[in-house]
Amino acid sequence: MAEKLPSAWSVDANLSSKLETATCDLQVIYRGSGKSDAEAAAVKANRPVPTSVPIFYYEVRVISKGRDGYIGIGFCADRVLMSRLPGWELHSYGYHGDDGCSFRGCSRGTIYGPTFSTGDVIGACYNQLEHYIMYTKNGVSLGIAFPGVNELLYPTVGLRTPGEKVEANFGTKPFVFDIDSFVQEQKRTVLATIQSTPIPDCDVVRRLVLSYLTHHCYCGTAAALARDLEKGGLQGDRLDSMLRRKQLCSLVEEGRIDEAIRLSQEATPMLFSAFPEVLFSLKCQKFVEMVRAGNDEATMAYGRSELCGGEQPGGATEAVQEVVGLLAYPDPQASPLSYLLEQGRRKAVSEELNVALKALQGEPSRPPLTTLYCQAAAVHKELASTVGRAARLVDLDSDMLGIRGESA
Amino acid sequence: MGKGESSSKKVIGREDWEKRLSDVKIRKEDMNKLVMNYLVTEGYVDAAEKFQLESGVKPEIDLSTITDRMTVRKAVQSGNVEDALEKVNDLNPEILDTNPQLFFHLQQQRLIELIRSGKVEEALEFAQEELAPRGEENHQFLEELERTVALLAFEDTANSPVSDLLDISQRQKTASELNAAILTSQSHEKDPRLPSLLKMLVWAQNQLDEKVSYPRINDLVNATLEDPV
Repeated sequence: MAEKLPSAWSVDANLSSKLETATCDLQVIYRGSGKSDAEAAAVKANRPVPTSVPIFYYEVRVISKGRDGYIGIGFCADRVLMSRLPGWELHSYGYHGDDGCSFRGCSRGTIYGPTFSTGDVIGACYNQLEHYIMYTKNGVSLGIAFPGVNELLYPTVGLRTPGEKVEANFGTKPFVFDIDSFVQEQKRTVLATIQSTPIPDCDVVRRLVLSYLTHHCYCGTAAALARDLEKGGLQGDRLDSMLRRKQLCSLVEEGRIDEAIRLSQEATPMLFSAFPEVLFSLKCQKFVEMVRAGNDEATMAYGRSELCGGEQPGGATEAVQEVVGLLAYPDPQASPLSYLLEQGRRKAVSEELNVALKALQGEPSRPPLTTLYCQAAAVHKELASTVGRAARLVDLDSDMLGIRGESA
Repeated sequence: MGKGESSSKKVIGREDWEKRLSDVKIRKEDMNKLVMNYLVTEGYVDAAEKFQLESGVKPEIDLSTITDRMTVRKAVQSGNVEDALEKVNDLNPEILDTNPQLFFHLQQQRLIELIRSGKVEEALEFAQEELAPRGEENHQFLEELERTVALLAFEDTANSPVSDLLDISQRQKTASELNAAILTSQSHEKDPRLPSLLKMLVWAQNQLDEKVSYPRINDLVNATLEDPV
């Protein structure tokens, strides 16, 4: 769950009596006497900038500069004194309209930008990727005001003379500054950093592709690639074992389940005692194939003897109910269970058999390449949810791999 | 790193992590597309053709357009660098003119091949006449040249510190560089996308290491999960 962003000025018992808010607590108006600096008053937003947000931005429009336009805009930490303008206190950062100076924990300013007054729109940006605060005026960036900022901060404005009136935009309306392009630019920087990450030489990728092809029994492709890679191409046993798996899986994909079961047992007698659930899946598929063939009596008999009798692996009852359900419909192809008759189901069973055959040879259920993808996705997700602000800017599929997401 | 810092690290155990991995969804079709992109970009035409038949994934470009690229590449892979140079120039002379680094690496490969076939005198002559002048222009080239010439100093090159130069992967490296240059000249993406997956993985793991202890993958080829520290 994304943390909530600041959305209005905080109006509570602590709000200075010199300030008044309006328009859903987005406007702030100064009601004090404005005689001296001691009459200054500031207000901060209802929430801090979430630490997880890489780049936070809000804008303040000056509706009226009032008497002198001593207006300060910026950020401050939680316990900063609110009877001072932003930037005068420690852990407080402000850009002031009357002199255009920037203030950071000090009542003496540093020359920073132009002055601002009635009608101007000032934007304040807290970049938590690169740890700085910068401002914009009327849609133009003024550059970094405060480098090296790394703390939990609230948006804040401070007013000091009668008639001063400002209104904040926390993102519910379009910003004057093109913050999206700015974020895109930051994203390009992050992508460039990732792309420059050193990885072991190109041979690694080739070997990953080869093991991927072997895993999924793309025999011709694997052999062709291996010819380019290794002297003598694929070695004997690897090729044999892949061809055997391919043969068995193809039988399943063609619906020839009996043959697949018989040949699997012959080739690897240990297989079904090690993976009874695979045998069971094959039998369920056999049942589906019999439904497809249309002999209901024989199908029922097979179901009774093979699927419902004897010991069954976990989850079997549901699987049986699902396939037996096909018999309830006069036209299974047009039934709600028709998905069981699709080619995709044969493929799923064939993949199950493939994985079991691989497991028997002590090989993992996923090819290493797929595991790397899963690892990258899992690490990225954890990173984005904990510390990695940069990670949030980047999407593994669309930015790195050119995979377009499925429309939901 | 202080003691307190490491003890405050979040730890994710193996079982939890493996569950997260199995929760990640990737369609085989998308993975196959990445593999096809790799085969096409790297110029493995035979494999790409077979893969189209076996997986049903369509290649993103007409496979016949990569034949020239493949011929050039194969020449480097089989050690016929002169042949490759000639063919690249037939294809587009600008490729080598605008790529001094590539040109140097091809010449370097030529030198390696001469040394491999035991033509010591020819190798030295070639190094002095063709490569040394380029080394003078560029410090990095000079270092690479010196390293290559060092091959001549070892009787048993296979056990020398520069044995990697004689490895088949050195030819692959040169061939890939040439391949990328040709692709760029044909305004095609010069790099396959799969290496980006590895870069993303390495980058993200390094970032996450700072705050979390989790089963990391160090051995990319086998994708083995290490136990969290």
